[in-house]
Amino acid sequence: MELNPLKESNDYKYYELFIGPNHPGIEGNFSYVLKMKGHSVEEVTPDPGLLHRGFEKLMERRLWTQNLALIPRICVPEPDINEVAYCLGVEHMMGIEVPKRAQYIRVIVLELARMASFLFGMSGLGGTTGHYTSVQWLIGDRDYILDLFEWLTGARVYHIYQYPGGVKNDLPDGWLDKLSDFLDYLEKRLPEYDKFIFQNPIIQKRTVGLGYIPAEDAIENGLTGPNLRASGVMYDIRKAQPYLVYNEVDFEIPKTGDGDAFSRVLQRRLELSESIKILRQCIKQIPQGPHRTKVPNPFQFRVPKGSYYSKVESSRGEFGYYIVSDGDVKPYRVYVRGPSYSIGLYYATKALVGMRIEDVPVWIHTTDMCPPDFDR
Amino acid sequence: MGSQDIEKKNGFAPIVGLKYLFKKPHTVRYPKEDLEVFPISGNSPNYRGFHTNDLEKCIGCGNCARICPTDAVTMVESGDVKVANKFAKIVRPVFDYGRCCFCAQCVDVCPTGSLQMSRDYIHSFHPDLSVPVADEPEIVSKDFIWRADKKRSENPGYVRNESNKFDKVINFERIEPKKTDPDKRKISFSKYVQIYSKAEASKEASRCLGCGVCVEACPNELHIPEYINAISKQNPEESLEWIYKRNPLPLICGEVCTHQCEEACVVGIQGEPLAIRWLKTFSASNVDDYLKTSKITLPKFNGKKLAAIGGGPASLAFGYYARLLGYDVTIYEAEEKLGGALMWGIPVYRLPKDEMMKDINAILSTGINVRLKTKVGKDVKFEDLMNSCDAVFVGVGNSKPMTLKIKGEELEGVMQGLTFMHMVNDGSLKDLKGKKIVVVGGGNVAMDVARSSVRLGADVTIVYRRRIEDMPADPEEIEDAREEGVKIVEMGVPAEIKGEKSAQAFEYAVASLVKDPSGGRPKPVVDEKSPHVTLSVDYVIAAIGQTPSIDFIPTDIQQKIGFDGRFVPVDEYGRTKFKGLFCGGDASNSRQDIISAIGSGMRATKGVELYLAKEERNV
Repeated sequence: MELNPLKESNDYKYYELFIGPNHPGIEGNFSYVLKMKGHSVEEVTPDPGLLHRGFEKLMERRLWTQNLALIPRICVPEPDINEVAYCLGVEHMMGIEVPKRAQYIRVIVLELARMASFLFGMSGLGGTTGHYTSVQWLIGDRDYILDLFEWLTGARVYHIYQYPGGVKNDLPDGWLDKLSDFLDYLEKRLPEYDKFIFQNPIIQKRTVGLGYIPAEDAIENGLTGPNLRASGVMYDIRKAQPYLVYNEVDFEIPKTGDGDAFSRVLQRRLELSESIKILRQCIKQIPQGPHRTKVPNPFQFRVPKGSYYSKVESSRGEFGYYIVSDGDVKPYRVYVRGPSYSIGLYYATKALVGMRIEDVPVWIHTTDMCPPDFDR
Repeated sequence: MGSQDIEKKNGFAPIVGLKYLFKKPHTVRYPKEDLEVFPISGNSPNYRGFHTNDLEKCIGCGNCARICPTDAVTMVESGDVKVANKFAKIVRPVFDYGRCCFCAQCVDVCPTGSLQMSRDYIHSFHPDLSVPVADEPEIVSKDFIWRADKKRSENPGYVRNESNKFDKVINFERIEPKKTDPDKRKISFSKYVQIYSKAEASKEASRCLGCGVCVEACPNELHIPEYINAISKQNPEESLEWIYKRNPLPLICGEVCTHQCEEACVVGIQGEPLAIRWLKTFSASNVDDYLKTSKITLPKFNGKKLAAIGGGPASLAFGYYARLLGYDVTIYEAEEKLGGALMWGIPVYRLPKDEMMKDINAILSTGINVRLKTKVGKDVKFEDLMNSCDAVFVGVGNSKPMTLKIKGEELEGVMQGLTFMHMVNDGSLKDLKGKKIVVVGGGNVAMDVARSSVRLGADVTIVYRRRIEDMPADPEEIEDAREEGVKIVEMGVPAEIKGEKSAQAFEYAVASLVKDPSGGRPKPVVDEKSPHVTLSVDYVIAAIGQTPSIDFIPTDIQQKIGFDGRFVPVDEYGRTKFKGLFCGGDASNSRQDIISAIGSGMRATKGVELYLAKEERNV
């Protein structure tokens, strides 16, 4: 996209500004073209394409289980959510019953992924507000989660750990103890985060009252996840339509309220505490037993004709996979509903209007959008 | 701390961060220090790093290359590698780490477990995997922490080994077909192995990896992965269409084939091989009209006449494929029924006669002439056939039994295996209750004789000159025979049959086995010191092999084609050295099973085509 030249007037300078991957304030390889009037934004045009890899077409050309190596890459900060959503859909269509232990392991992995993603997202806020110490703290603590993942799955980021019918290997000996230790550590850290980040006058000044999203707007624009809940709509798929074993664990949806940038971050912080609660229950409740059921091998893996929409509550909202099968060894069509597309692609064009230029990165990071999940 | 407390603005709160000035950082000074998360220092015990492949264990099936989502694996020829078994290919995988995404799917589908992933991830050094840690260049050893005292290749990361093989994606356990109990089946001649149900067949077929190593093992190279794939899709018709391309006797082969394919099956290396034979039975028995299902259109006759001598599988296959090319074929059979060894040699509990006739009738319905009870050489002269037909195919099989060459063989009650089976099959032998029978030999015929005798009420002992594991019979035949109460004497070399008029006692010497230096089966050796054992018997049945009987061919032609009493030498298209004479089946190939006979018949039609085309050009 070409930028229009500057247009001078007596009062303001009108100009177009490209805010893209070269700017540290944007998430991922996404870009907006902002039409500026002086310091404030007049018009926003999302400029996707830099990240496009054609995932949905690629999936049609690969075997059902080959896709498991591909889909974690749809959303880099939380690959497990993609794997689980895809596996849930495939299992439902094939009528496979997943063993209880595997379901618990999945919940543990999902909640760990959610925590890692929250920490990563909140550290982004530190970057945009100039609060660089919080970036180092949060990323450092996230790395302990990645260590746990590496031990469990053999890789740090792209775990490729889920498999239709369960998970690839059982929990290693001593892994749950290590997880328990980590949760103790993180719980000790949280009050320090609160003091250091949330009670910090600078961060409050930058975020409180910024980018207010009314509840009606949020519903109308299809926002999900913490962004929706921060506006006061208490909708969580884990509660509304419990999948896996979420109905066997006790947790609450925290209420923060008014839908500004600060409450969105606070919502994530409080949900982090709930995740710790869920994980502690899982460690206690996880049953013994098999960790996967037998399914046909990858070359003979056929999913019966039909379609299904499976969804998982990710750290950003509803992650959905609409899977269509014609009974062959490859999917006929896989459509991915990323949670960030509603806010990053559509709602951003409304919300950013009238905002000052320095607030744009703050707004982007408090919505915790992940461009790879809509520019795929 | 509640949400209200967190929201409170406090200018002094961030000062808490100052104390971290005096704390240790999150990061470690690698490689001097390392993460303490893992029980083994370095990286995770099942880390997905670079691949290691045990080249001698690898059989080159190429499943890793087929599963790779990023096409990072290429199979390249590596000629100097030692192969694990006779079916192994000489291609080995090569990895392009520019493409590899380290998903480990190749490790999951490796049927031998030879392919593993190491904990090595520093690509830029690219060290030699066979070098021990101590001998590594400093730059490598400095930057990489290993499990102590181990070589790189022994320092694995993500692996799929024997202990966790059931965790992974290949299904190693076979779905066994339902079998009648040994106690029940040994009193009746009815078939005791049930055909798979549709669900069972589809489940068993879905174990196939589709690599096609079995295809090279099959003497007639059937389209095995394709037809198993069709069964997995629950489509027996499509499956039969694939089978029928190279095998016009699907049901017969399904029941009694020697299934080399199952020996080659890669799933069998760590688990149980696919039941390829039973799957073939499933698709053949679920299809009524073979020809219609396989969409065969018969061409018009091209005016050329062919004769096939013998009514066994070789001639039937020859007739069928020659008819598809438009030839007018006549089969000459000496007995009153077609089928040859299938009809007279194989007992009905293994191959019911109605199943056999289903296959044969499908072939005959293409328009092949059959002349039963016509013995070439007696009813029709061989020379007349050679003159009246454009080409003659000899598929007579082996009907001249080998003899024991011991004293007392001429006594009454001493029989040949095939003669005995003929009597069982034509119904002239009905009852052997309380009789004691000794069967000499360890092949499939010996098993058939022994198990048929058990069904007729006899007490059976098999005497074989080597060990049980050296027997040429199918392992499941041996196991089933023992379940039915057949006793097997190992390392027994027949010495003498005693008796006045009929056989009364059978004496054998217990041999000692001498290792064969060339790697073959061990040789039984009998000397003066060997102990002798005598069994009292009513019948002694020798099932130690047969040789072809082609007496109807004039001796000068026999000499010309180089017949040595055991084999008729032929080229790959079944051509003998005599113009217009083709040979196939047991007489010309050493494997002597049905599927090789079908293969030889099929190749002979190609030979006939080549021969007649050449003849025409010369005219």
